[in-house]
Amino acid sequence: MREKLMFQNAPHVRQRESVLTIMTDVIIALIPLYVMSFFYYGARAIALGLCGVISCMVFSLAGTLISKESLNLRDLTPVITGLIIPLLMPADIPYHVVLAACAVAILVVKFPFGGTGNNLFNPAAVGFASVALCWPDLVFKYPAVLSSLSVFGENAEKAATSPAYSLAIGAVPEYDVLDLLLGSVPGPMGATNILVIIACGVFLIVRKAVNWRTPVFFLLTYGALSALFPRIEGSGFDALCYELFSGMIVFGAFFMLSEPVTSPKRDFGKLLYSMAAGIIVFLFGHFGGFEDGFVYAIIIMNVFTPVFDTVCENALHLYRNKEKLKESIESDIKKAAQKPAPAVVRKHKKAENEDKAAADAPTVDEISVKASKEPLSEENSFEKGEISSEETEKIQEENEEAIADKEPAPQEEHEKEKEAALQ
Amino acid sequence: MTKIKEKLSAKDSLAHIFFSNPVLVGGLVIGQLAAGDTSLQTGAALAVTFLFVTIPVLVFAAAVGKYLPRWLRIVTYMLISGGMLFPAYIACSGISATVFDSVGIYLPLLAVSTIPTAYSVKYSEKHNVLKALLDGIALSAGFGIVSIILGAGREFFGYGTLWGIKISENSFPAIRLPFWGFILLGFMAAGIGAVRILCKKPEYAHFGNVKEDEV
Amino acid sequence: MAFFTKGILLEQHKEPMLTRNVLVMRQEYEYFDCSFPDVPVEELSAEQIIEIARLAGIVDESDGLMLADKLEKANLGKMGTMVIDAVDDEPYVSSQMCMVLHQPESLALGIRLAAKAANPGDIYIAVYKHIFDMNINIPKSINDIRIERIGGLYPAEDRAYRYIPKGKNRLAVGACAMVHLARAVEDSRKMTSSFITVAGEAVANPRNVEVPIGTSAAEILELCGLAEEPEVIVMGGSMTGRAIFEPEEELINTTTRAVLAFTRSNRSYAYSCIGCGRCDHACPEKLSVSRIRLLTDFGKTDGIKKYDVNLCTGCGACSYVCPARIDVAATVLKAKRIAAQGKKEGAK
Repeated sequence: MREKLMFQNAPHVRQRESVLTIMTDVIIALIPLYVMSFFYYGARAIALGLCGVISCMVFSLAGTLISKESLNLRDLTPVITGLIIPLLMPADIPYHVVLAACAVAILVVKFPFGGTGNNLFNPAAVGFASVALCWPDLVFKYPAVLSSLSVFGENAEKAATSPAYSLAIGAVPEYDVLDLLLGSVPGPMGATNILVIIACGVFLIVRKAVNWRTPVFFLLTYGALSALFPRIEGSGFDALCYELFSGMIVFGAFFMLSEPVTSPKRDFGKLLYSMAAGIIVFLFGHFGGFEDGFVYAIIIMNVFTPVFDTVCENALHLYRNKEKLKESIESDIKKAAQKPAPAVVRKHKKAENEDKAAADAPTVDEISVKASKEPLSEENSFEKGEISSEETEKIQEENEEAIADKEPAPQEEHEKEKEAALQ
Repeated sequence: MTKIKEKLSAKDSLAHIFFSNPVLVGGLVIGQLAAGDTSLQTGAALAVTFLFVTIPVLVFAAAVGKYLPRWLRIVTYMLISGGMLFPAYIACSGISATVFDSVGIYLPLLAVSTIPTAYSVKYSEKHNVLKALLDGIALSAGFGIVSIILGAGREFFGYGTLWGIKISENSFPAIRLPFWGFILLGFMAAGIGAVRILCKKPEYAHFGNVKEDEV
Repeated sequence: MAFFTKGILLEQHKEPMLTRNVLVMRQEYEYFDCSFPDVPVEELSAEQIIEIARLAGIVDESDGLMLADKLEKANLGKMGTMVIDAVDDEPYVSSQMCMVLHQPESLALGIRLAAKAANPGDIYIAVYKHIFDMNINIPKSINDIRIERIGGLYPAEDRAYRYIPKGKNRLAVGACAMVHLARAVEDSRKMTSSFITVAGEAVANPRNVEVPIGTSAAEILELCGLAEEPEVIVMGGSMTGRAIFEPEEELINTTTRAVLAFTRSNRSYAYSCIGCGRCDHACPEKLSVSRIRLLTDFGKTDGIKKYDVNLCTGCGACSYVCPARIDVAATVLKAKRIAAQGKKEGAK
């Protein structure tokens, strides 16, 4: 028995939730999106998903071997990245684009910065952003819904435009709001099925894989700004629905903005972060070049995550030390209110009277005790200060006279004593 | 304990070309490279400008600079480096007529970067003129190698051309962005680190500082 | 919503130890001699009860003090309250609760005797409320002594005192001490045993046991049987106990609450930190736990004092909630030590 015993720090019980359960929850939440993509676009959607997962896992293995870390087969983060990246692309995208995006996501964003838990940016966002810059025609042209796509061969270029493109040029999309919710519009493979995404998002929030503040406040901010400054004419509610439900806004809010590594740690930080992200996504939508600048906004916000963390930490630092702060403020006020107490009065004949006067004047302790018991109204403390200051001035003058008279003699005696002691 | 070396030996100066590269190990001037170095011509222009801007300042610092009053030194160095932009402009026109303007602000930024201002004060004032000259040549060579390789790579992958001549059909325009410039510089720096570990030269792990206890 | 509720809810794992009655390990009883003659139990005076407690050497298991001293110094009076501490809010540990469930008569007798000695105005037994995996009902009262269910999250100091404000006269005595007191009065038995919980996945027959003081952990685990080779053996509570390596040499004392044997150590699950922030959320002192752990693990503890590490109470809530099974609490305590040392050196 003794050979197998290991050392363990207290506490020896841990809660049931682990990184594995969190990641499995996210994967479970992504699977219905693949089911819907299969329904709309056929088997090619599943093939793209598999391509993404397998390539991400291979690159992750390569990265682990190069960086000489220990292999952790239970680490499912590359699987999640590999599932998210194809969902942002159109369904007829060539496989090499997905491969390139996964390569960038894993080999450029994740492993050079430290591996799992240390990426500075959202890997899926940077992968998609790079690929969107390299092949903008391929990434932003979507096939029509329910068109049959061949799994491996070339597909004819179906130049259907997504509602996001319509909004970017200022035209009302020709689809119903209901179509937008159900996902029967051309668009990114997984980002069009709004109702399914919201259901999966609610699942994630209930399972505590995602903090509810991140998507809710992001969508509220973005919705409020879109309602105030719509890009299209029309009744306010319809315009708001078009703005919210086209493009990757809702998908990104639940799956990409809430990535634990790149978002702030505190609840209040997450709130500020998601509101700032809402503002930046809105600005990208109005003034940006691409029809969907969500990923670029995420990359910018990931840079500012430590700022929100620092803000929360400083606020909590003040909160934790609030008693100390209160005491130091009170002591500062006390110091400002009273003058210093009279100096030590030398005991000689004249000083006996001054001793009495010094004893009558309130001492430092008495003043501070009185000040702490009574409410700190300025009149009280200043009145007391004035009384004592008058007396202390009198006493100080008399002290100075006495000292001037008597000083040489005791010093000489002292020096004589010293010399006597030395000799 | 990292101890800062006051004087550099000739071996250290020559190391500036590869193992103690100012850009990849020292991290100096990476902003200008990442943002401005998007083609082979611009890389060459940056290298040439760096040459013109650095060497005279370092030589001047070694020859005269240490005798100047402190408050005047850096001002003089920057004036010299700024003034040397004119010959640099003429030299860059030899590369191509428009390259100096297309790189834009990054070339004058080289004149006020760390090397004319801080490196000269820290090291060159304590050397003699020949040593400072060697230093300047080695620094320029190191910078030039990085600048040309980075520019060539970004032009080939980002545009499909090399020195303006179209070579391949494929292009990945994302590489032209400063984001990817920084990432590529990071990979190159990692490469130099790997070579340094393979060649077992731990003394060049830091630019300028040498861990004297470990060497 | 940690703004309103400070702390975390622990999963208790108290079954099947609660339902099974107490297993008594064979022991030699020791007896003491009383100076006063045999008197019926109801007619014992307070001083006599305290004398008996002292002769029997009864130690209160919740704080390690002599019960006789506690009863003597208690100055309760009519407004005073005596709380019988059967709270057991740590996971797996249920040795005090099983006194309530499986030895109610002795417990009630002991409580009556202690009440006579301390003379409080109010008595109640405190049992933890948030145990969700119980297969047994906790009664509302034992022999007219009511049982209060005390709620609250972990960590809570002095949970037994939760509903008694600080100024009032109060006394908390452990439930096992009451049982020992009853035995001392009835049979003149000295306190030679201790009630502990033996639990964990590696134990074949997890239950509460009564073992002589000074038994080794190995004998206790042999008594209950080991289903598998344990990787970790813990003595003490599950949240605050310590892992032991020499089960034959580690002995039970009067304040040991449990011996736990786990098949897998926490370390075998370790992931890298994913930055979820659950540790920050769980900390009752609201420290930036994730940041402190990151700085300490990489050795950059130069400015760590401004993160207020000195406020850490060592409760371990951060480690409990960490999904990556990182030893966060140990690292934060290490940072606290480093900050304290740095302060001393700075003062010098």
